[in-house]
Amino acid sequence: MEKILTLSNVSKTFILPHEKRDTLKESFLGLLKKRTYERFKALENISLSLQKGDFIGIVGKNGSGKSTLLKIIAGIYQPDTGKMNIDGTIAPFLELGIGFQPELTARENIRLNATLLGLSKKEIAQKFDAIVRFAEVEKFLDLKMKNYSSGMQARLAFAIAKEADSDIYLCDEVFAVGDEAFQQKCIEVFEQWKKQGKTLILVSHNPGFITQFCSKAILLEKGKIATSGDAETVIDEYHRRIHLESEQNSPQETHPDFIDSDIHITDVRFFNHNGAETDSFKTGDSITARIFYKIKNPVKKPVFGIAIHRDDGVHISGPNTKTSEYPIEEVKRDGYLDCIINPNTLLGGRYELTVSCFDYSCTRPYDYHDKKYTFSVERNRENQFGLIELPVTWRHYG
Amino acid sequence: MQSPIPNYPVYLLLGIILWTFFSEATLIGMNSLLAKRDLITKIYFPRSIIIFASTLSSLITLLLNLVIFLVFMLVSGLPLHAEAFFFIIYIIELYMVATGITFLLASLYLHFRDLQHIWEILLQIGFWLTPIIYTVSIVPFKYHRYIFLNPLARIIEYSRDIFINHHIPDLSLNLVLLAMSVVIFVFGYTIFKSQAAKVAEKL
Repeated sequence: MEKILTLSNVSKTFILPHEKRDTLKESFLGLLKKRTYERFKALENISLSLQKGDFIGIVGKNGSGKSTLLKIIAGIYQPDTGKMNIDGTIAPFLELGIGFQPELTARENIRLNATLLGLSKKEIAQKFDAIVRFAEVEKFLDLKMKNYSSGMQARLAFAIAKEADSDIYLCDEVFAVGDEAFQQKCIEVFEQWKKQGKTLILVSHNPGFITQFCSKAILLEKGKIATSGDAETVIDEYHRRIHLESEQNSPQETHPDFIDSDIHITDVRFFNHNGAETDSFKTGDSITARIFYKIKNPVKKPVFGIAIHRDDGVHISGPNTKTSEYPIEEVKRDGYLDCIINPNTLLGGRYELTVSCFDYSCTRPYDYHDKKYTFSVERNRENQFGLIELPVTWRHYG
Repeated sequence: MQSPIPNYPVYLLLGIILWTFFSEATLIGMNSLLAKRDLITKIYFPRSIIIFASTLSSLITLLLNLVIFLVFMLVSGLPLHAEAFFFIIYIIELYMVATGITFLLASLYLHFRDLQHIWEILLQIGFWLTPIIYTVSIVPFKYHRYIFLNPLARIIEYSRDIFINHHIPDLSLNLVLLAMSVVIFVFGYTIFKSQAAKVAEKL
């Protein structure tokens, strides 16, 4: 396989002066004062090697250097030290729809944006129809951009970017805008690029997309590569770190709104089918979430509920003791409540658990822990599609 | 009353049009990097394009103004002679001077954000130091060499010579002006080039 992009020991430091001095006046008056700086190492010794056809994901928290890295690869920033070798053409943009003018029509914006992406007049004329078809804006070509919905704008922008023929594409949060249909289109294009042997560097906060498309991934932390390698391993490590951090940062304190409540949820623990405490499960096993609570005064007819969200925010389910028809007449003492999910139909991924306790009308909360607890489900299914594994039965006639 | 300067309206208009171009091109141009920050931080392309685009758009305004000037000149009864073609060279030199200075200003503006106000004041002073509404002849002769250190003064004076006196200035004068323009342009461009790679982070 041929190498298409190599970074060796690339570092980038931003110098942040303590005192702002960006006018002549300040510089003049400050001549005698010594300036003090802070050095912010945005990237430190990044080495990376991509082969033709690689799809690589970059994950990391805000400020970990993801965008700086992309900007260096795109040529917007120059690295301070280190070398970068690119053996091919690179689409030098990070965002879609750069330069779109709200007051111009879509037709004009296509020309404008495509020119910025480096297409010649002739190429634009050749590709114009393909762009319009892909973006599905045939009827709205002479409509001003400001009247386009954000989804339409995103489609159009992506359609143009797709035609900027390069070997390496950089994508910084392409999925942030756009509806389901648009995301579907992106996926199609990515598949097409994959077939054509293009290289893609994808930055996303959505780990699902990275595991879906990228074979490799790197995790950036404070400007350094924390781990790199197989996408799923890296994403799992990313989750583990986020989880660790959120545990450190959120001491089990009662939310101020609920200090005077009669019921406090104190903890939630997860147990597997063997009764062992764990937060890692398999599809098909059972999950028991044990909700511990303390009371101040006896409460009649409380309703306990949970909500399960996948880590990208998709709300999967939200049962409570009322909808599950398990009424609790009264709680008089501290205790716990088991919520048993059997069988666990969730597919591989990380999940967040919200736990709440309401009065019988479900209007007044006693306590509410929003996405405070997390657990994961291993990928033990060869081909997993969608969110959950429904208990289906097939019948064939014929 | 007979004006002591022949064809004073034409004389004045030409000076003002050329000066306006210079001041507009440099003022807008020095701010152009900041104005196009969204593009610069999102996509790579040679940064000098932004400066050229900005000064070229001012140049278009100048060309439109010159059409008005030509109409005004013909209405005033001044004939248009073949020498007028030589004016194209002065337009090119004027553009080089303005763009060279814009390159310099835009580079400095990245570091000093009050430069715009300072430049506005310098332009005001420049306006009076350049023979725009007065003629060089009212200035004592010993100061002439200082006045002509200013390439704008040369361009404006030589252009008037062409349109009003139908006379092309001497070759030596033209060579001096050409040298000045090239030096200013190359100097500004070199300074800008040395900053170009860091433009995105300075914005």
